[in-house]
Amino acid sequence: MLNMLTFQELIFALQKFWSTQGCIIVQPIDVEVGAGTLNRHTFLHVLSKDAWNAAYVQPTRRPTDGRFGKNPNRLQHYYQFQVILKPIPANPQEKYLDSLKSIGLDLIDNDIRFVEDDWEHPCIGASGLGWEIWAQGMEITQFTYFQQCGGFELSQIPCEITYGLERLAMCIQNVDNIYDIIWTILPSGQKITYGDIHKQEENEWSYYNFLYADTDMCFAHFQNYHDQALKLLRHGLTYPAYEYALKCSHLFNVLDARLAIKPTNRPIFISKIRALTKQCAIQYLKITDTTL
Amino acid sequence: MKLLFEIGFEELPVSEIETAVKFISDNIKENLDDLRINSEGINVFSTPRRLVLSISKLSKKQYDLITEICGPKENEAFDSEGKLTEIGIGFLNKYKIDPRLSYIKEKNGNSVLAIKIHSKVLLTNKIISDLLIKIVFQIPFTKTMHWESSKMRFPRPIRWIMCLLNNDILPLQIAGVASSNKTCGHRFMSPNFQEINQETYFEFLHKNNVVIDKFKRKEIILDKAKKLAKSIGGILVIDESLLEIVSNMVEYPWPILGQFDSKYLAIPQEILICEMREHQKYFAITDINGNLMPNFIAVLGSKPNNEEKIAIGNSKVLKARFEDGSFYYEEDLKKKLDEFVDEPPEQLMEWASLLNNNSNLRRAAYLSKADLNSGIVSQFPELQGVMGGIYALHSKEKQEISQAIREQYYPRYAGDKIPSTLLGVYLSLSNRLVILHNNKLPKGNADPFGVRRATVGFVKMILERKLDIQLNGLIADKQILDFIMGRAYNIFSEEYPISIIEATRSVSDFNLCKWLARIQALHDFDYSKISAIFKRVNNIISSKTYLKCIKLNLKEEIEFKINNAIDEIYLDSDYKSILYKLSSIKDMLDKFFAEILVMDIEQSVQNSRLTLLSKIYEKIIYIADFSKLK
Repeated sequence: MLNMLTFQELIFALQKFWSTQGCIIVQPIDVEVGAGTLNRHTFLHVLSKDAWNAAYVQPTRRPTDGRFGKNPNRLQHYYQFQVILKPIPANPQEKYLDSLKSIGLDLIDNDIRFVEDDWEHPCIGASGLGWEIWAQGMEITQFTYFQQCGGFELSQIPCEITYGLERLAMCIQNVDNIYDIIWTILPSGQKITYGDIHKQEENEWSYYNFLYADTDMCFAHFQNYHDQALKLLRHGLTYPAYEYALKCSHLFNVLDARLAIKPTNRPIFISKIRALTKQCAIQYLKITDTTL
Repeated sequence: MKLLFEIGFEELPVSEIETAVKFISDNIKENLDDLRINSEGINVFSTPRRLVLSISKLSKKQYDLITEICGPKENEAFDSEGKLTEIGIGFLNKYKIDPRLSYIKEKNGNSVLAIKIHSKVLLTNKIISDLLIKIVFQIPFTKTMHWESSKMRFPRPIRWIMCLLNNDILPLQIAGVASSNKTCGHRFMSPNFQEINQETYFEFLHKNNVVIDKFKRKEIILDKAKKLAKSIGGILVIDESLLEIVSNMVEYPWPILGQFDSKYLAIPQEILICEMREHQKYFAITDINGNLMPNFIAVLGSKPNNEEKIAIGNSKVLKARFEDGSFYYEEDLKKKLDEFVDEPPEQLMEWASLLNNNSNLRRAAYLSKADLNSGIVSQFPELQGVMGGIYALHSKEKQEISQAIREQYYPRYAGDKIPSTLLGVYLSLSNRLVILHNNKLPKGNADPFGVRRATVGFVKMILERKLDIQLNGLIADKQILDFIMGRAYNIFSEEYPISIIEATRSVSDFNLCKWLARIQALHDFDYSKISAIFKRVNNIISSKTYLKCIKLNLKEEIEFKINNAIDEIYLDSDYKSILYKLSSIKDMLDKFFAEILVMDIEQSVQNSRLTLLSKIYEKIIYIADFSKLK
């Protein structure tokens, strides 16, 4: 028990590992996002040709994945640890495997596997090729070579490594249920679990996402945020416009969980968000890349 | 010479590995032939991390090639004094040939100046690296990426290249990676790179935990998985496509047995098997009665130190998957199937009602697409139909409606079963009519929207169920009609002579079953003796104009006999007996043509006789157009 990392130590260890590898440790974005990729430290920074190596924790929301606190490994709010490496180092897979070793994961006894999984995020016009990485059959990481972002073919290909921190902790701590993960052990010896910190809110947010989110309000906000983003883009304010695009993306996810968007209408919403993020990408490149 | 060529890469997707192996196997020999290099003993191997080409015998150099080239005509190449003209010199200079080596040759009745060219003979080691690079670049992968400055495209980054011609390194470079004589073993069990040679390579892989032969990996998996299933009194559910996938996912397969809580067996087993296969790549196990057991086989990629720990770990993941499956399932069960109907499938319902206007079929068609809006099908699209059937029963729909919904996509592939009920067949036919009308008809071999496959299934169902459907009464679109008839034609031609199929096609009035019945009747019948006389009847009728008589003015006894015999033939679907009766008038017809002049001078007699022949013709053409028979 003593040799194994707590949830917070796991974060420290990964930060330390990637910091040693030359990554800047940045902080999460304070807008609801469905993936660490949407954080501007990834979305905007991968667009340019310049080197960019960064790592950060990103709290992530996926309304449809809520299970009222009852599923052993599904959450509507969870933590990703995101690493972005640009340009790609000589052997990124080895680096990743070293990071697993550094947090005490035996590669053979966890049957670590790279299983094909091409990744795509239509709202931000991003896609790439890579794997989901399995430990004992459980997906613990998504590993992607970005090819496109903001609708642009990338000239400098980055490698994105996204750890699911809860899944990783379950593996290291050998627990069956997310809520049993030891978050930390206080000096008094008291154990604080993931459940202590998150279980009640998982339950409440599941009710919100599936039952009580006011869909009229969400549709109205979607429209308002969308208009705001357009206005900001006209004023050349890329960062604020991008955050408003993210707010639209989250509202879309909530409406999706509420089954308020007909399948035939989904592409319309997605293309609206994509148009915004694409404009943000164009403006960002205008500022940073004089060759465009 | 021996060649050993290994490209090492980051784990390639299963389908891309298959593509690469197939492409190289199909093309390497031909490519070597084109290069004039003799080769023997070509083998292509693969794992998720490497592609290996081994050739046990290669000629050291290109074989000789002499090509003859014909130039200008003799009288243009030489002047009257026999000296080379400018044209002649120009030709020889172009190929840098000494005039003494040229000669005169007869070609297509002309004398022409000709030369022989000896192609340069190059050493294999000088040219084979370009071929290897070319073939790697040409592999038709589905999805590729770039990752380094040369921007080469490949499904995942290439990390090492080992290339030996005999035991010399054959220098080449792909995507910035240069060839060497080093390779590595299993990623975790023996990761270090080592120098190898022709003699040690396969031994090295074996010792370092790489099973290079996919068929061997399959065998290991199947063998051990069966034993593990047997150890708990169960039977492995052999899923060929899963076995194919799993054997392409690992370099060192290690099947283990795991278990899950039997409470999940309350979930329909289709869902459980789907969860195991699609998400986790696990094999299912049943008891001897075919009921799912609470166990599974997972295939690991390395030999574990602690098998039990990994089995428990895998079952935890499965538990979460099943929890999720049961979450969706129970959510779905809160609604009745008809509450999932978002927009009724109008087009499908219309086709169904045209095929058979019956209230059960109407209901089945109305509900048939409802499961597409259910939670389980959103997670597992391949369970569409199956879930609709399950939810229909839960919603207290009739058993036959549930069954029809469940089997509405049968037959899904060549050789698959057709729906077990007539209702299911009608529903499946309706689905296919929608597909036929909503997509472009395929040309050539491509079938991107499965239109051809859908149509073949359509035809097979009609034939197997002997459905009496006149297609031109159902389908207005001429091209679609022809497309369906074309599929039927192809199906028939696998078993019957083309001439019979063609002779019966137009007379069968777009009714596939009647078409087939006519083909079969003719095929089983020796029509060679009657064919000539029937053709004669046909010729006379189609070449003469005459007034059809209502009352026949018959004179001779033979005419009366024929007329009586003809009136005895009823045009029903007993084609064999019609054929038999027709052939029985053959002798009478011979006599008729021998003794009687059809074109009698008396107009009414002539008309009568032609009418009599046309009566015969009607009976003949009911079976087949004999003019097309061989």
